[in-house]
Amino acid sequence: MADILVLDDILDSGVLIKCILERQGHTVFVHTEEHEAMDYVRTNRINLAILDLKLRSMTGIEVLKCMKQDRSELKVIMLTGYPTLETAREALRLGANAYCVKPIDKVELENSVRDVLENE
Amino acid sequence: MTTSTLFQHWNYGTFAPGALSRRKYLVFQLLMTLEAQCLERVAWLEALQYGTLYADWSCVERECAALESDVAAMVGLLRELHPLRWIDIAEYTAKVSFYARLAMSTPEPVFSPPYMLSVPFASLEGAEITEESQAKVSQETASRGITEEATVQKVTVQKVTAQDFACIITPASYHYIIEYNDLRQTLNAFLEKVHMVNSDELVEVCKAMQACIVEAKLPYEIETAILDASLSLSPDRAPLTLCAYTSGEEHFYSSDNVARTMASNKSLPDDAQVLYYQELIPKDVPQAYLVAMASKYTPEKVLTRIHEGRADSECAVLVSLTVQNIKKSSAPRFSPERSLPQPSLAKRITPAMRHVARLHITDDHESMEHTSSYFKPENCRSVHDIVRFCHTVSMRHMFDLMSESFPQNQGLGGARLVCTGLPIAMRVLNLGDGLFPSATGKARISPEDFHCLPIWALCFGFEMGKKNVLKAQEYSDALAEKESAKNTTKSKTRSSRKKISSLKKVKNTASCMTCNAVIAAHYVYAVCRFSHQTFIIESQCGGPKDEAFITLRLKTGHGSLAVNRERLDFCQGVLKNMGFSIQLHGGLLQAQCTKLGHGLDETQLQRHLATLGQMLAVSALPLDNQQTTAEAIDIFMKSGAIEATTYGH
Repeated sequence: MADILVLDDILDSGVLIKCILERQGHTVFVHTEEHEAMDYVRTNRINLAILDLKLRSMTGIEVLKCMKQDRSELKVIMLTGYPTLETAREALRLGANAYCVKPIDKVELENSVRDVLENE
Repeated sequence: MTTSTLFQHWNYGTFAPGALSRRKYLVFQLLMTLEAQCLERVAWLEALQYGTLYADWSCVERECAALESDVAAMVGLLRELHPLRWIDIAEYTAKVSFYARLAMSTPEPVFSPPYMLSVPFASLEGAEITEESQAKVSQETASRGITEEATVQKVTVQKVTAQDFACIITPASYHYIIEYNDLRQTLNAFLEKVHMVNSDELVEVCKAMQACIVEAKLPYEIETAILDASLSLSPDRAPLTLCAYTSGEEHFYSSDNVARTMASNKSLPDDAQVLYYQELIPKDVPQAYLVAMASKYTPEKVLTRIHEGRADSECAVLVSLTVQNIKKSSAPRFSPERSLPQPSLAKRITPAMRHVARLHITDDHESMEHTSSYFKPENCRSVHDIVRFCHTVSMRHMFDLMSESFPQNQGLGGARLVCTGLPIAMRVLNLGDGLFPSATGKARISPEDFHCLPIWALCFGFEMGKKNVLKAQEYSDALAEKESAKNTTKSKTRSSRKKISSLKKVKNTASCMTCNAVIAAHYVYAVCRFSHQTFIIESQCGGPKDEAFITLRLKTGHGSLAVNRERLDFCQGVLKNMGFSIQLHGGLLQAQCTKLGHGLDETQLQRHLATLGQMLAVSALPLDNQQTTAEAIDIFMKSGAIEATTYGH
């Protein structure tokens, strides 16, 4: 089971993901602030970060870049309701392991998390 | 292959007055047309995946864009058909389409500077260096304003002169010239023809593409830079040597890394060098560069690239200019090693096809009264899922409309459930004279109530294949149980247990096949689905003498490539034996048989229909592992073909 960080500017969305993944036995930490999340990743043993693309003061891509600079081995899933080819390619280029589009259901989320963690 | 005559029978007049507007009727017609069109597009992409067709990647992108647009149109029409239902389908369609687009499209090429680079010539040969010479080169390159990446480490020269440098015209320059002259669409238009032309025509197509490039205009900045570089390489007008290479971008990396790539001895395929010019004077270099660009479009190069599954924009041209008067064989080469594996078109398209062709939603657990709980927009994971969803629910909606306007206990109109004694959820919509008066007032009817000959023959075939249908149900149940067991192991949560218990409930009442048919006195249009296979059978039989025909459309949607091919080969073999005209493209088989065209009498056509029903039942299961497809066809034709003695209406 993994330690997972969720960063979403809408707390309810993050909590929903937390509920789904904790049922799978993971430990999930939900953040709504970019800098708090980046600090948390820097100082804690996190296996996977799930990042929303649209955040408060930064974009998910910027956060991904910072997190990867600090922890290159960190697994990352990008999650967005506003997908574009450009952000998808940029995220994958920067090392994101998956780019998921909302609405995402329970099974799809569980499968994506499993696939990314199993490829470790 | 064939145009359906469904709407000649199921015309606006068959609906009860006030049941639906003309616009909604037209919307439904359009939906059915788009469904057929979408499946043909999916099949075209499958043919590339199966390796039975090749085409330039620009065609793949064009076909995917058209498919996306058709599917979006289907979803819009579905919403128009019933604005209050299936509201969320648009959202899931956008999601699925995005994944498909991401998997199929190619990124824009890099066409930003630098367009020219100078690299130490010796580095091209991979020679060893001394620290002293390294320092000299670094000093020289710095004074020439060459990027840090271009200052490569392996040179043997003791004294740096112009002759020690090679000038590289980067892939970005090639891409920019294509953009500058707006050639992308023109080239793609030529490339789209490649899979349709013979070798002579291919030569002509390639010549036309080369002419476009040679006649292109060089942007002022690039032309000047090439001339400056040529003069700088050859201040005393010594002849220059030009070498052009074409290959996938990954061999060149991005343009700003070209020099580093070359210096670090990255390998290029053996045949990457496409042009070699000696004795060039500087003023001729710009035109020679255009010829070098055009050398990418030789028939061999174009075909190789297409078979490798690369888009034209993913292959660039790199040109080196040197002052050395060297022979072709010792011209700068990046590496003698050729270790990079070449991806193929089929290999490239396969991962993307799970977002396009793979079917995830099925209505095989649809019972007489209930539809599968899995048959929902949120479970659509591919374009094919969306197409199937739109087709199924729009058909169902029209059946319901007819049933509401013609209550079952009044006359013979409307949709009826058919009890066949087989695990088939079957509904027929009688457009008139399709049922005997004995069916009046019955909520459920049996095949004996069919006045319509073609549907009766089809059901006769189902009955002949009863053993297989029952086996198919066992197979389907076993799959459901296996899935439940997998869920039990994976999760012990209450929600999963609920899911399993609901699956088990489904098992007892489920049908393994659905069949929705529109019937009239001499006509049937039946959509039969078993698991991921869809069979659409249409027939006119027993009516006006010369109009009799049977058409079949079979679309696979799941399973391994081998299983699908086996099923398609089996059906193709059986249909060939019966004399059908067949067209097979990807996972779509279309077959046709007409009374006039095939010299058949009515009874033979009816027998063919019965055999089709039986074939459908037999092909529902994967074929016996012990048999080859040819053996299976032979056994089917010998033991399974409907004998005239056992057949009669």
